[in-house]
Amino acid sequence: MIELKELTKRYEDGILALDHVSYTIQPGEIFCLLGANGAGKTTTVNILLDFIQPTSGSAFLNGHDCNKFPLEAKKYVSYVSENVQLYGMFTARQNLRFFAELGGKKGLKNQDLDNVMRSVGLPEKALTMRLKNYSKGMRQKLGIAIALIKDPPAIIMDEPTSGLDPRSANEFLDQLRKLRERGKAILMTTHDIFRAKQIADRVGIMKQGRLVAVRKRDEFKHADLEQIYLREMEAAETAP
Amino acid sequence: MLKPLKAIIAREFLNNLLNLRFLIGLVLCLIVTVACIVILSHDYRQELADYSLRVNLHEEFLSKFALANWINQMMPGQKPPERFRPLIIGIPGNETQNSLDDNPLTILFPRLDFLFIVTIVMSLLALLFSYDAVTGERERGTLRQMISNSVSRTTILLGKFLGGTASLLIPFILALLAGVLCINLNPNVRWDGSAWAELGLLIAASLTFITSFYLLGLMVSTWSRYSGVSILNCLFLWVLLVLVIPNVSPYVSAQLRRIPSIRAMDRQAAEIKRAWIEVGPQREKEVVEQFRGKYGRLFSEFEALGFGEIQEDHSGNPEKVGELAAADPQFKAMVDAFRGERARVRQERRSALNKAMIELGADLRAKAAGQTRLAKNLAGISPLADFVYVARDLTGTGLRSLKYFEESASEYRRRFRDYATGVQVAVGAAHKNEPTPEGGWFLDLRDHPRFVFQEESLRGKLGAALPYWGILVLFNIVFFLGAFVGFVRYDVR
Amino acid sequence: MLKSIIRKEILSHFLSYRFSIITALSTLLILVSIFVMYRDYCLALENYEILDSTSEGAAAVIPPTPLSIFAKGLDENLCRAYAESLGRISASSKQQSVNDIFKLFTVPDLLYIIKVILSLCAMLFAFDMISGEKEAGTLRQSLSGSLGRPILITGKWIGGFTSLILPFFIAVLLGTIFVTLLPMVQMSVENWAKLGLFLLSAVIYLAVFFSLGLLISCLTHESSSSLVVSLFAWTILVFLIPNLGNILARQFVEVPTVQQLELRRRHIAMGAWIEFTRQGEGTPESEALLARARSEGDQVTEDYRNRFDRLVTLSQNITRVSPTAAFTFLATDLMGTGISEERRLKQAVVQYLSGSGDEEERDRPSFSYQRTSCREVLGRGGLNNLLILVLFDLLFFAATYVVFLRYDVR
Repeated sequence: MIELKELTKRYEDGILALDHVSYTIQPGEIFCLLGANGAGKTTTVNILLDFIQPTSGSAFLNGHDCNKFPLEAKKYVSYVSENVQLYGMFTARQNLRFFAELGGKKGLKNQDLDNVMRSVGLPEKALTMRLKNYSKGMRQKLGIAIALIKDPPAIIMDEPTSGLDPRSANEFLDQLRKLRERGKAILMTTHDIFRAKQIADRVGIMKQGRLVAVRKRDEFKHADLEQIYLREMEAAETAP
Repeated sequence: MLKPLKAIIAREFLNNLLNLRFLIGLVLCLIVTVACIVILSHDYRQELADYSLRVNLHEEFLSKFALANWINQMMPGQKPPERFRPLIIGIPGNETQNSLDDNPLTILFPRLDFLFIVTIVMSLLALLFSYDAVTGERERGTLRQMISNSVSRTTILLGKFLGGTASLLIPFILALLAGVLCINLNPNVRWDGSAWAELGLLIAASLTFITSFYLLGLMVSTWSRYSGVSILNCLFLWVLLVLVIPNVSPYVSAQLRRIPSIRAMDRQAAEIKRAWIEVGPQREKEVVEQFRGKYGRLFSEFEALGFGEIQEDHSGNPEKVGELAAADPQFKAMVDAFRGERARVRQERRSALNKAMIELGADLRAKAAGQTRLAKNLAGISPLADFVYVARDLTGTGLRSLKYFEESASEYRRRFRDYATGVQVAVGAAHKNEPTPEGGWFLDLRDHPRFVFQEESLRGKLGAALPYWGILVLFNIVFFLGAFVGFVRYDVR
Repeated sequence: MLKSIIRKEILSHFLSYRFSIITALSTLLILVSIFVMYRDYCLALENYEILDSTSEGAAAVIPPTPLSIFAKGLDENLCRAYAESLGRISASSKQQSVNDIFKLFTVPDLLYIIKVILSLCAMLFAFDMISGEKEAGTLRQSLSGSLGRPILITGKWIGGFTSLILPFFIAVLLGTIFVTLLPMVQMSVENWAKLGLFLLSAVIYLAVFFSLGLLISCLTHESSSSLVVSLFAWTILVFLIPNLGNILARQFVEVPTVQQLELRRRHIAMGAWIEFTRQGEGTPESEALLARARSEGDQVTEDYRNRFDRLVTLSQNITRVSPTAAFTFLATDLMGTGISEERRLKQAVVQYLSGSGDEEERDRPSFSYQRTSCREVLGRGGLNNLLILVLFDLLFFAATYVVFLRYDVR
């Protein structure tokens, strides 16, 4: 479970990146956080992963405070970044093994690693290829493999479909569905309204650090999510 | 903590091994170290041969020209080449500094040896390995990925340090092993247990030095955002610590703690001597006046006979003085008293001269020692200088061992002089009824004590090296702490 | 278009962190070096003036050159007082011999700063001019228009090198002004010409490393690789080849050590004096003995000097493969503190001290010596060294040009 309680972040230059944001993501739920550049999506991710400290409020991963007990909290989360780079001179297998070990998984056989990589759709020849020869789509898949191998209850993804071609993006979403079925709580920040509509159980709309709206799947399944998004953004602008 | 630490160490180690810098470092180290040691070993062989030749030349000379009056200028005691010469070129002593002929090439181009490899090549390589240890990972995004796991920053930093230095030391150790093999195969190099122990300590000191630069690079990386900035800062610091501070220190110390110019000292010494020469006849005249006043006509007669000595103008009549002294006890008493007084005055003057020269020399030496100490301390701000002191002290190729040699040689010369005096006395007794030939008697010195230079004990060398080694360790600690503070606050985004 | 590129290069360098740090470093080092070496020069001058005023022992001594502030070279050796005693010529002690720390480290004169530190700075300026732009994507952007590669690479070279050389010149100018305003430093017209030539050769030398850095940038596709290769090349050219070259030369030309030479000469002289005093002064045998000893001593010395000259020549030829060695020889020769000057002075000293024969010391004319002029330096091999540097420049730039024409900018 991922939980934010009145989370606030004001940067040193005075910019209010998060303004009393609160929500909870349950196990088996995909929560997509939508918003323009600078809305506060990445700041949320950074606080959850203890890259920065909040000004006030708290963030929890599986009940553990992310900023007071970061090491404990991070046992329960995996992270997939926007641009999965990893170590170019290592093969996919070597990269996966390394991050698995960091995640507390030791003694994994090559077979185990290969199975995970296959399960995310990586082709056979890619398993022993060096990362510097991977395409962006393949790297994103490996990012998911890293998340999978740790098998945490929560997964945080920061704009994971950015720059992916349609087919790779679809394959990526298939993986997300599988993760949901396994009961993972998934937070995904994105600009991609189309993909968000396809995959999200709930959508949160952020504008200038505030969570201006949360919509359940029933509310946008048959509606135009883009219109809902723009309406909410306009409403937020005119609100006191 | 241990599990992720091992993973990070292994990853850092492997990452470096697959990098171009490792290959370049390995090639550079191997080529330079092996070439250097092979050539220096050859040089050592030549120097040993030269040393043997000099010893034999001197023995031959002594066998032909060992005259009593010239012995002081024939003191043996050649300095053998240092046993670590195949690795480290020693510092030349001052014994040939007054020669018209010397080797100017070594002034224009400092010599290449093991110290160069460690202080220049390895320190630069260490910075190359570590400058982007943190910034590079941040730029790639892998730092974020690592920290998103349950692994502390301390663990990551420690893993980077251990893995990084392990990969850095491989080229060094391999090159060193190759070099040691070359030394071992050289029949002219015969190292005993203490020499191998010194080598072991030298390697340990080298590792301390190299890791200090790795940590410096790591520290700079944790205080920079970009690898481009990090490398510039690292190179800036490297230039200051390796190229500037050690080289400028002697000149700065020469300005801060001035000593009289050497020519001024020479002039002062010349003036003291001149004054001494001028005063000499005056003092002796006073003695003559004194005796003239006391003994009157008797003394005048003695004076007219040239005081019983052949003078410069070949006047003087020692036989007549002898006859008069034999005939007249008063005359004899006067002659003895005069000679005694004159000898006392001369001795007094000689002592005064010696005292003045010794004071002059001691004053210069004390000031020079002060300047040297200051230069050493100023240069000690740089890890390079500290390492050079440690390495040279441990291997007997530094200033300390030069002094040690000089003391040993001095002590040997004293023994040699005693031996020669003994031989001289024996020869004098054997020929007591014969007139002494020009230059003194020939002395058969075939059995003279031979000079065998024993290196200072390892304990003594280690004692001298430890303070500077301690400073190197301190640098390691300071840089690691700096890296720690930098990394704990590091923005990984 | 060339002007635009040059302007862009200069501006981007001026705004870069690299430019600030290199400018700060070079200015600081140049000024500190000039100040420190100026004080050293004053001490040397003081020593000379003392000796000159005493004039006893008819020593052959020359004053230090003010150019030693910029390139000390062998000036400490050159300014010793040479005198004859017991048929041997000896030199006085050096001032630096009282502080043993001088033996451990190198002279931090302007020559050292240029040949070691500024050459590194030159490579740091150039190593990522192409590979860095490729990584940033701006190279593609630049070449996507109607800009020819020859123009681009030429403009980059000119702009980059101008940015490098400007702070160097400002720092040297400041240092030179400081030096010339001081009363102790008297620079003749010849000295100014030499200094000018020295600075010109320094510029050519730095251009060599700049071109090499640019070449390496064109041969690699990542700036981290360019950096590593550049530092590798710098270490080899600046440190390894000049030093290894000297050691190698000694393997081919055997020269006895100075200790051995001195020992032999001392034995010959002492042996002769001992025999002389045994036989008595003034006899034909004793005079013949002294003459024989003198001749033997001269023979040993000549043999040593011939071998040593061969060693120096071979060493110079081997080490010239490195631009650093060529520059060192050229600079020290120009400033009158080089090996050729030392050789020439020693010949003059030997002639002065041994050619006087029966002259009384007080009747002997005082030793006079003029350091080699610019023209003579250039005529006696200095021009060769200069040409070597120019050749390196042309070679590296030509290679850069050719390689860049085929560079993959994607």
